[in-house]
Amino acid sequence: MRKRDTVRRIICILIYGAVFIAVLVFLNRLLCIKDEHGIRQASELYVQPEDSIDVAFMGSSHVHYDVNTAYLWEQFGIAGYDYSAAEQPLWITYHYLQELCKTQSPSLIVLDMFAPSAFKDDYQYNYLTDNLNGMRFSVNKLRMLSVSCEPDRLWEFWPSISTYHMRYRELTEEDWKPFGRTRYDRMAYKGFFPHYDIDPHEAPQGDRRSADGLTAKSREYLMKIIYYAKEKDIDLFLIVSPYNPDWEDVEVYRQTRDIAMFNGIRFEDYNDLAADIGIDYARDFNDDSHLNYDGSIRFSDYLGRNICDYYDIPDRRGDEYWESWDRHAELVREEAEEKCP
Amino acid sequence: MSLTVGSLVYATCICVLFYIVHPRLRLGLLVVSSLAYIFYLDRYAGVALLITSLLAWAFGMLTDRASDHEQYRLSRVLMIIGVALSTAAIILMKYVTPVLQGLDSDCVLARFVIPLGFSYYIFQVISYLVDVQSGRVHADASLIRVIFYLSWFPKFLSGPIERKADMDKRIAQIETVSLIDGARWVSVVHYLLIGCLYKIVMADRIGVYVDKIFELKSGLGSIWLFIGMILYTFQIYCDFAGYSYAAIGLSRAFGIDLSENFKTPYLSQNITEFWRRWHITLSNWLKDYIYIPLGGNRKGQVRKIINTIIVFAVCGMWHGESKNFLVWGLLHGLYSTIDSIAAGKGVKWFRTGVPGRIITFLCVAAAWVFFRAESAMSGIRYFVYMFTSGLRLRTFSTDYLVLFGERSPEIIVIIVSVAVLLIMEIYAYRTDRSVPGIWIDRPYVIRYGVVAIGVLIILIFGLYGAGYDNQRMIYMQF
Repeated sequence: MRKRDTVRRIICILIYGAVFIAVLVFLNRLLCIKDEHGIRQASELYVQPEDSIDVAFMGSSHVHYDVNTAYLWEQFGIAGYDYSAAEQPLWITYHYLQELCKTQSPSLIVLDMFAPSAFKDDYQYNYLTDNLNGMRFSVNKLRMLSVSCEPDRLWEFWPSISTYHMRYRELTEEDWKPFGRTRYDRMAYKGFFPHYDIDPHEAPQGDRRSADGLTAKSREYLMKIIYYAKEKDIDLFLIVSPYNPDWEDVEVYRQTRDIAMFNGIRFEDYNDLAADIGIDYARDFNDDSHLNYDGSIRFSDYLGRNICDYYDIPDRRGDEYWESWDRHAELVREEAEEKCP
Repeated sequence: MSLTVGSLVYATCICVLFYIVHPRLRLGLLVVSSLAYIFYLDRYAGVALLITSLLAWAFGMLTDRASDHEQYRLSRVLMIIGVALSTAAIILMKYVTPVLQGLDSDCVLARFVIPLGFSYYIFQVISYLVDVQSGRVHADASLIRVIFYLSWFPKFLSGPIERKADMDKRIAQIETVSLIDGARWVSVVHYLLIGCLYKIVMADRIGVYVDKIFELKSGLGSIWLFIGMILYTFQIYCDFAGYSYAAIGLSRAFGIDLSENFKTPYLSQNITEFWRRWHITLSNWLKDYIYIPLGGNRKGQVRKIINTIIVFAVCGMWHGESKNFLVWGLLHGLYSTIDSIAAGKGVKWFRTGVPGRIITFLCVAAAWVFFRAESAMSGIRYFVYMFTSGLRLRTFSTDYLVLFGERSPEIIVIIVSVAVLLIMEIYAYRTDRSVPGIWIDRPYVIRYGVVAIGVLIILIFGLYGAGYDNQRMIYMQF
């Protein structure tokens, strides 16, 4: 009798447990933040075909605004992925790189250095949620949390549900869309987040400002990224994508150039090459700091040529294993045709 | 203990250790973990607690020794010195320091800020010394046990205010507490669950809108101000009862039963019953250590009224130096006096049944306005606005948008949660149990479902994470 009761209890616990988990998973998917400032870039990485990404573009929002992975695919056959997040500090990039290498074996990492020049705090909370929420739970994520967030603020950001459970107040149609997306559909996402506004700027007049250089923490993690890339036999290409020069910090870029030279790494500040790239400051910016779709094409064209010139990246076009890039390019093209002014 | 993820994780780790270490080491572990928790919250509070514990232990020992040697006068003098020191400390920190801070902030005394949990454990010190002197309890020769009595971390911040004799019984059982005790763990889960639901889902959510209503009181109509008063009545109950349930549940995980602090107080039929059900451990303390020593109801009706007023004035003043607390206390003194006279004359119509419940609830709610207000004048102004601003039905919906925002389901969450709370409270009242208690003896099929749904509600509708300060508890400031 007692044994039968115990069995019943266990069955009851299992049923309730299963229903509880199912409801929690559903609510989690419904309520989670679905923006493209880092979360989608990080979460869709997990559905990419294994070892398919040849070039990973990493860094802050400049990457997913400016580096047009669809264009790079169509013009150069580069299987690239914008694995970036808003204002991403280098200590998070370091852990993103480790996460990337769990399922991918990229030949090249292109790392944008804007964030360490613009943001100097050792803990940066502005876009921390966007940097954290897309990554799956793992020891790597715990390590990333421990360097990104002071201990007494940990529970504000982890578990991720603590950052979005209150979104039941602001649900929109967009929140239901992921339920209709299959793994196959998600595969066509490559991190690029095109924007179509035009925000005219004056062309820079060569008055680039200099402030403090790399912070100790940024320098430490830049070196960790360099060593990790060397260990994994991945080429590293440090860049600064073009942006409105108000924010510039030439000292950071000078130090980065020195570090890059010392370690035999290529560094390119594309602000210096804006004229060669053909950046039109009156038409190519979406806002103060980011290129729009047209700007991204101009910049990606130049960047793609640089990558092909300096690195040995295979052209994957036509290979069935990389067909998701074809779908990606088509989706971006369709969206651009619809939204381009 | 504050209801944060960090605190709960800490408590869980300590609980695991509790069942791993040798039973003889358990008390030591609980003392060390309690002190570590308090020092982590505030080093100053930790030092204050240690000094107080040492003094309580020493005065207890000296008082007891004097009693043993039949030096009753000396033992009484020692007890009075100990109680006077405790009272002086609380008066200094609650009354003198704020005044001095206004006059001369460089003055040494002005630098004393009341440490966390101070007014709760100082009441326990007073009860301990009085009980030792009266022979109700023997002085504890173990300083460790005295520290444990005052510092036990689930109850440290806001009570319940325990008696030493009760805690001694629980300490005696610590070594025999078994991990395998299904009934106890069921109770732990339900107390914690109801505590978190009350505090994180209800009190903190209601508090957001109460703050807005009290802030915008001059521009709102009577209906909103009345709603604000009622909402605060629920907020303070859910906040404090939620904390108390969680503290009881957590403490029970270690086999240490704390006293119930709330028993469905808002269903009371009269104010006397309300005080038997609201903050029970404080009410009992005030009764045993102030009301009865003053003569209680043994010296005639006039003295009884005076004693009642004194007790409630002390109760109000205990909450802080601001006059609004005194007004709140005196209002309750007035209510109790009227109730006592009515009871003496056999009047029943406003003391029993539904009318009694409604009148008691509204009287208590009205008094809470003073408790919530920044000052006594601010509380009076709230009522002036409430009775003079008119219904303002034309601006009702605009005010709703100002308070709750557009398309906000928060009002629905509040209405549904208050409705569920009332159903649980009514059932608990009728069955004479605590709210967590009504679930404990349900069949497990129901209990497991309640736990699963409760956890989901906390996860989704709880106010936690970035932007919310779950460490904030109304009664923590006292």
